Amino acid sequence: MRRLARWVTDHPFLVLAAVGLVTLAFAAFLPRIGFQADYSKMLPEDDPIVAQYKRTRDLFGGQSLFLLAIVAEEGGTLFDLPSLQKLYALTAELEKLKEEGLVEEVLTPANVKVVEGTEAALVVRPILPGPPATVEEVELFRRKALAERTVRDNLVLADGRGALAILRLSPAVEVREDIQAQILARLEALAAQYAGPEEFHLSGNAAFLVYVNRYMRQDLAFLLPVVVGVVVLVLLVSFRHAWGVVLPLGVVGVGLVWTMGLVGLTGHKLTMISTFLPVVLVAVGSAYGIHVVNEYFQRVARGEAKKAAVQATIQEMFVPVLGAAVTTAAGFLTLLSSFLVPTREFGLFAAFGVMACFLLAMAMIPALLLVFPVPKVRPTKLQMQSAQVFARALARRPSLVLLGVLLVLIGLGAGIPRLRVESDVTRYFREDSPVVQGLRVVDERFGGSQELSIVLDTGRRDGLKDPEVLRFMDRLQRFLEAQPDVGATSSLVDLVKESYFTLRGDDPAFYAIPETSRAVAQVLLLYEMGGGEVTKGLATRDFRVGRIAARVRSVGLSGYDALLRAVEGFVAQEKPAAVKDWYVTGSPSLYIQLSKKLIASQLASLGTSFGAVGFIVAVLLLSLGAGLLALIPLLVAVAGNFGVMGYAGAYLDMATVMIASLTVGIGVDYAVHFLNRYRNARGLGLAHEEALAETFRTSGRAIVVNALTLALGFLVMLLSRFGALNTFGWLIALTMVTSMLGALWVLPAVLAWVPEGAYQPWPRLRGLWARVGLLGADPNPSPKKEGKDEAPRA
Amino acid sequence: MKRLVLSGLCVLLGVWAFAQTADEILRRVEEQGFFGTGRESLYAALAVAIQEKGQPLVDYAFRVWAKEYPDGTVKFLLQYAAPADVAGTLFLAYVPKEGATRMWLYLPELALVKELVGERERKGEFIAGSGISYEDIAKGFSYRADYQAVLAGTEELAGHPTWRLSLSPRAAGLEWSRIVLWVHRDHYLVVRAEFYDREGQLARVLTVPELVTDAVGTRPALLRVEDLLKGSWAEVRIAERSAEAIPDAHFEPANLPKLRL
Repeated sequence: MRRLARWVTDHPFLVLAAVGLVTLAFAAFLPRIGFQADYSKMLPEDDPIVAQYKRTRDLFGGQSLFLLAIVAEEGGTLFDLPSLQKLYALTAELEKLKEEGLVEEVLTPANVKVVEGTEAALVVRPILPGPPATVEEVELFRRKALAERTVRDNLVLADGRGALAILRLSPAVEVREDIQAQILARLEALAAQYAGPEEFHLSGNAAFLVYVNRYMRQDLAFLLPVVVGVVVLVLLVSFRHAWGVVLPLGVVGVGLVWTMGLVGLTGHKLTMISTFLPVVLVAVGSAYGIHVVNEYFQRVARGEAKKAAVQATIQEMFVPVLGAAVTTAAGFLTLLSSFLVPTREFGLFAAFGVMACFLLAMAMIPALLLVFPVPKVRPTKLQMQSAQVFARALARRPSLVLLGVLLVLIGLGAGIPRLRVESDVTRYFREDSPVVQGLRVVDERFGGSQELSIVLDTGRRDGLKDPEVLRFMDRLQRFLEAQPDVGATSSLVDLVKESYFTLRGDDPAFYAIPETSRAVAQVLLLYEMGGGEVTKGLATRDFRVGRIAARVRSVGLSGYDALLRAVEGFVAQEKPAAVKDWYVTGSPSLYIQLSKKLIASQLASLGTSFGAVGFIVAVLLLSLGAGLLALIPLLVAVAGNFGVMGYAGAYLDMATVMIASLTVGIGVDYAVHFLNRYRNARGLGLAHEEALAETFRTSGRAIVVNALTLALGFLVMLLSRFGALNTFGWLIALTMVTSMLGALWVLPAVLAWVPEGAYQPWPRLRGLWARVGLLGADPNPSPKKEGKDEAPRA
Repeated sequence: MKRLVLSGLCVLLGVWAFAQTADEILRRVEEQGFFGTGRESLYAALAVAIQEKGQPLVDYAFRVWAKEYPDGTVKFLLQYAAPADVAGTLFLAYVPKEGATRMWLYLPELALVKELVGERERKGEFIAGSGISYEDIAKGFSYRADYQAVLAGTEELAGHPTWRLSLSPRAAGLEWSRIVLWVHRDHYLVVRAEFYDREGQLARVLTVPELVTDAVGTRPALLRVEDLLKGSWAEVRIAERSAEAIPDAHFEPANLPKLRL
C-alpha cells in the first residue's frame, strides 16, 4: 500500500493520462445506449408465466393494445351527425396504420362487423356501409349499434357519451418499442387533430410502455443535472472550497462515463430501473471522494506537506474507502439474485460504477491534489465543540439512547404488517400523468383498459365446437362479467350465438349454442364464409385451443389476485372433462407473477446482502466483532424503512424492493468509517468518550456530508415522472439519514458496552495486513501525539 | 439504306412477335385454368393442408365442380369432404366475367341454404390462410385483364422447359406490383409464380413440384403457395380430375339440398 501510495504520488500525470485514455475508450460506447420498457422482458424467458404469455401471443396474435377513448362534450352525445362523421374519419385514419402494417387490428364502432340476416341471406358487415350523411343514418347507426351485444357499452356507450377505438399490435410490433412510439405519436397527432368539442384519451398497455420509455428519457435528461446541482450545493456548503466540490464530482463524472460506456459496450439497454443508475452513482460515488478530500483537508489544515499529506491520505483512507466501496458493491451485487432482469442489470452496473468511483477516488483525486496548489482550510471551532458535546452525551447515557431507539423501532415495526406489494405498471405513474388520466376514463366508462385472457385447451382438433365446451365458456363469460372489475368479454361463443340467432331469423329462442358439434361447425363456417373471421384472436385454426378475452379495470395487485382466484374457483367447479388444460394470462397475470417473485426476491436479496456486507467488513477490519457491529445501524435503517413504508402506504414494488439491499450496501459505509476511526483512537489509548470525540471530529463531518449528499441526491427523484421513483427517492433518502444516525448515535451507544477486544483487529492477521499496507500504515495523528489536542479528555 | 430499313422492320416485327407471344402464352395459361384442364367443365378432388405461423397444421378435403358458361360466367360448386363436422356442406359461387360474385352455402346439419352477401375480408380465400381464392380455382391464372405480360426469356426450371413472363399492372392500385410466371412450354401450365407486393418485396411464391399425366392430359399433382411475409404455406394436392360435362342442375341454389354428388 505504501508503495502504491508512493507510486501514485510520484507519477500524477501518468495516472491522469491513464484515466483520460480509459475514459475516452468507454465514452466511445455511450451513443450505443438504448432504452427498453417492455415488462414481459423483465421476467426471465424460462418463467412459466412468461412462457404462457408468449404461447398465447403465438397462438392468438398480439396481446398489446392501444385504446383511444372519444368522450362527448359535457351534456352532448356522439350520436349526432358531426361527431359520427368524425368517428368515421378517424377510423379511416386508424385503418391506415393497419395498412402500413403497424397494427394487426383496428376495431371501432365504425368498422366493427355485425351479423345481419334475412330469410335468404346472411351478411357480416359494418353497421353502416360508410360515413353517415343524414340524421336518419345516424339514427340507424344508433339503433343497430345498441342492439349488438358486442358493440353496446363495449365500443360505444349506450348513452352516446363515448366510443372506444381498439388497436391491437402484431407480435412483431410488440417487441419493437420504436414502432410503438411511432404509433403513439400518430395517435396523439390524430387526437389533437380531431379533438373538440369531443375529448380524446389514450390508454392501453402498449401506450403505457411507450410512456415509460418516454419518461425514462425525460427523467435521465432532467434528473441528472439536478442531482449534480444538489451535490454541488451540499459539497460547497460542507467544504467551503472549490476542490471539495470539483474532486468528488470529477470522480463521479468519470465513473459515470465508465459505467454507462460499459452499458453501451455490452449491448444492454436502460430500463425503468437502470435509468436512475446515473442519479444513484452521482449520489453514492461522490462519497469516496468526499472522504478522501476530507482527510486531505484535515491533514493540510494541520500543516502537513502536500505530498506527505496525499500519501498519508491514500494509506489512511484505503481500507475504510475500500470497505465502503466493496460493501456497497456487494449490496448492489446481491441484486443479482433477483429474478427481475432489470434489477439484476442495475445491480451489476451499479457495482461496477461503485468500484470505478473507488478506484478513481484513490488514484485520480491524489493525482489531482498533487497537481493543484495546497488549499487553505481549517477545522471550525463549532465542529470541534459539537463533536465533544455529542460524544459526552452518548458516552454517559448509552442506555437512554438505546431505549429511545428501541421504542422508535417497535413503533415502526408495528407498521411492517401494513406493507403491501404492488407491481401493476400502471401504478408506477403519477396520477397527473396523461396516461393515467386516459386509464381512468377507459376504466370508468368502458369497463377496463387491461386485457385478461383465459386460454382453454381441449386437446383435440375441433374440440371447441363441442357444445358442452361452448356452454362452459358461455357460463365463464357470464361469471366474469358479473365481477365488479371486469368489463366486456368476448369469445367464440359470441360469434356462434350471434350467427345462429341471425340464421334463424332473429328468433330470440335461437340466441343460443346449437345442439350438435356439426351444427356449431356449420354455423361457424357460415359466419366465416359471410365475411367474418372466426379464428382471429379467439381460437386456433384447428379449433383445439380457444381464448376468452376480458377487459379488466386497473385495480392493482389485490384486485387482480382476487379476480384470478375467483376464476380458478369457478373453473375448478365447472370445467367439463372435454377441457383438458387451461390457464390465465395477460398483463394482470404478469403483474401477479412479478409480485409473488418480488417478495421471495426481497427476502433472498436482503439476507444475502446482510451476510455479504458483514463478512466483507469483518475481513477488511480483521474482526468478526467489527463486522457484526457494522450491521447494527443497518438493522435500524432497514426495519425503520419497512415500518415507514407500511405507515405511509408505500408499495413494495420493482423500485422500492431494492431499498433494503441498497441501504445495507450504502449505509454500512458510515459504520465502517466510524468503526475504523474509533478503534484506531482506542488503539492509541484514548478512552471511550475521548475516542468518540476524536471520531466525530475527524470522520463525523465526512459521514454527515456523505449522508446528506446521498439523501439530497436521492430526494431529486421526487422530481421524476414515475410515481414509483418518487417513493423510492424519499424512502432511500430517509434510510440514508437513519443509517447515518445509526452509525453516529446507536453504534456509539452500543460501543460503550462492548469490550475493546471485540472490534480490534485479530492479532495474528494484523501483521500480515500491516505488511501489505492495509493496516496501521500511518496511525492517525492523535491530539495527544501532536500536542494540540482541542478535544476534551475523559 | 434499304438494308437498314429492312433490318429496322425486322426488329420491329420481332418485338411485336415477342409481345404477341407473351400475351398468347398468358391466354393459353388462362385456358388451362388452375387444374390444367383447358376444358369447359372441370371436376377435381382436392386435399388442402395449411400451415400458418404459430398455428397447428390443418387439413381439409373438397370436391369441386366448375363450369364456364358462354357469357363468361364460371359457376363453381364445392363440397366439403373433411373434416367430418362440415362434410357435406356445399358452397356455390357464380363468378361473372365482370361484376360481383354471388355465393350460397348449404348447411346439411341445419338444412339451410343461405346467400352470402357480406364483404369478404379475406379477399375470397377459399380457406382462411390458404392464399388461394375461389376465383383462382374457378378461373385459374387470369391476369390478362389487369396485367401486361412481357416474355422475359426462356429457362429450364426443375427439369421443365419454361417461358418466363413478367407481368406488370395496367393500372395503379392492384394487389401486386409485379408477377413473374414460369410457364411450361409444352403444357402451358404455370410451374412457378412469384408475386411482388406494392413495395416491390417478394411476398408470395407458388410452386408446382410435380406434374402428372391423367386421362385428360398433364396436370399439377401438387401446388404449394408460400406467404413469405406471414411465414405461412398452403398445399393443394389434386387427387383426381376429370373434364366430363357437368349438369347445369348442379349449379342451382335451390337444388343444393337435393344434390346427390
